[in-house]
Amino acid sequence: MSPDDLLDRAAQSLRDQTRDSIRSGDRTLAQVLASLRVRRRRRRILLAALIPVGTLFFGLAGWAMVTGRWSTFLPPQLVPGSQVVPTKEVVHRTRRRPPVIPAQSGTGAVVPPAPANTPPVPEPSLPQLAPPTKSVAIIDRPEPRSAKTATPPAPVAAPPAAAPTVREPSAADELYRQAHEAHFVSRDYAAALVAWNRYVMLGPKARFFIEARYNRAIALVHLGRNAEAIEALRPFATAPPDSYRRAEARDLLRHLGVPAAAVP
Amino acid sequence: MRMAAIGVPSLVNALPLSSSDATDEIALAARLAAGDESTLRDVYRSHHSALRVFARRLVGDDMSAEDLVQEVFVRLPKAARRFRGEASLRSFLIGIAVNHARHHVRSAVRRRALADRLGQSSPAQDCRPDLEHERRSLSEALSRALDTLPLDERVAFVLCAVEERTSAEAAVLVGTRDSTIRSRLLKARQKLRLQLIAWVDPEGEAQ
Repeated sequence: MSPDDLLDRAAQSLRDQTRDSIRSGDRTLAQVLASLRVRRRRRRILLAALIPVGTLFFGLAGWAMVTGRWSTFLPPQLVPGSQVVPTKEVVHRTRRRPPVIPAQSGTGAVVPPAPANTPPVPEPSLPQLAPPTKSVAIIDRPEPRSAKTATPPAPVAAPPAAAPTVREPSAADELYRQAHEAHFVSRDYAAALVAWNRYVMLGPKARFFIEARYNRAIALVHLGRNAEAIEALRPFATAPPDSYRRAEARDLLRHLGVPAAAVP
Repeated sequence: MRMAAIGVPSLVNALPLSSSDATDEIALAARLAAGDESTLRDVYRSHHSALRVFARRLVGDDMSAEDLVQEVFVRLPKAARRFRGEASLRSFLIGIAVNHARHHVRSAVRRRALADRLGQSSPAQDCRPDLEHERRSLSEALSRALDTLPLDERVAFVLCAVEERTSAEAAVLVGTRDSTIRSRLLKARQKLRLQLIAWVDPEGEAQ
């Protein structure tokens, strides 16, 4: 018998031997079912323990998010949004208020071009902005706004006791921040104008739409684009009394050479 | 009927089913995955014998084979989620057995080695010309020879030579290529031939 034949016979023998050893398998079935029932029970117990824990955790997280009390159960470094980014400014979410633009010498102080051979026109000074009762300002800058400013910024009112939620700036807020920085910090009025224009294009639903329109007008004045500046200031000057920047706009129009009669 | 079914390896095929059979088995698998105990009982009763036979041939002893069968059916509800009906449910069960055989083969090999050390091994070949006895001895010798093979070669040999499946069917069960199965089978046969020759003629006297 050749080795291959031997191997084939052995395989046949193994096949026949094992075919003959048939069991009913009831005991194995019972063990299988018992094992599965134990697993199912363990899974149910685990779920019964995990669901309440999970619910509690997410409930607490939601409460902390709403009230801003992350520090109640998280270490400070894990508190979302706690990191102060020096270059970015976080804007408080408050009621709609005009932004507190720190008074800086020359900020918005428009020096209309003095016509030749005319007596110098006193520079109109923009009135100091009254700090709002609720802060809309850039809040994580306790130091004076910029080293470039000659006068310290207007004090920012302390936030109310029920601290409003600090949130990440939206794209619109970021746009406003950039425009503000260009206008009042860098004094780059050309860049500021571009940024104000972009913000104004967001439309009246933008939070600081009115303020952006006014600042845009100021940027136009600084750039010497008087015709456009007059057009931009007119709505403010002709608004009802006590409207935003009405008095300032009327002053500026006068200095730009618009007769008082033309400004009802 | 059951004996006939087990004795005809072609019923245990790894080839694609007809679409209606596949649909039925997919539905069955879905119920298994959902944890339906009565479906599990039905599947067990339909397939445990064939699975046990395969397991016995693969691992080489009844106890380990029974453990392997139990493990396959315990894992079946979870594994059933992967069943797509490309092959029969029986083939799917055998595939699970192949994937989880390693531990049981090792266990069986250890048991046999321990039995040998304790002098409880199967009686050596004796002179009785009894065919039944010869068959039993040869079967035992082959089981021990299989212990010397790596698991993948052992699986290939049992599926193709013992269970008489084609290499294509075996490749589907194992999840590899046809050529790989044939290569493993060839290596297994070469090694087993030498083992069996040594068993038949321990002193090398036969020509």
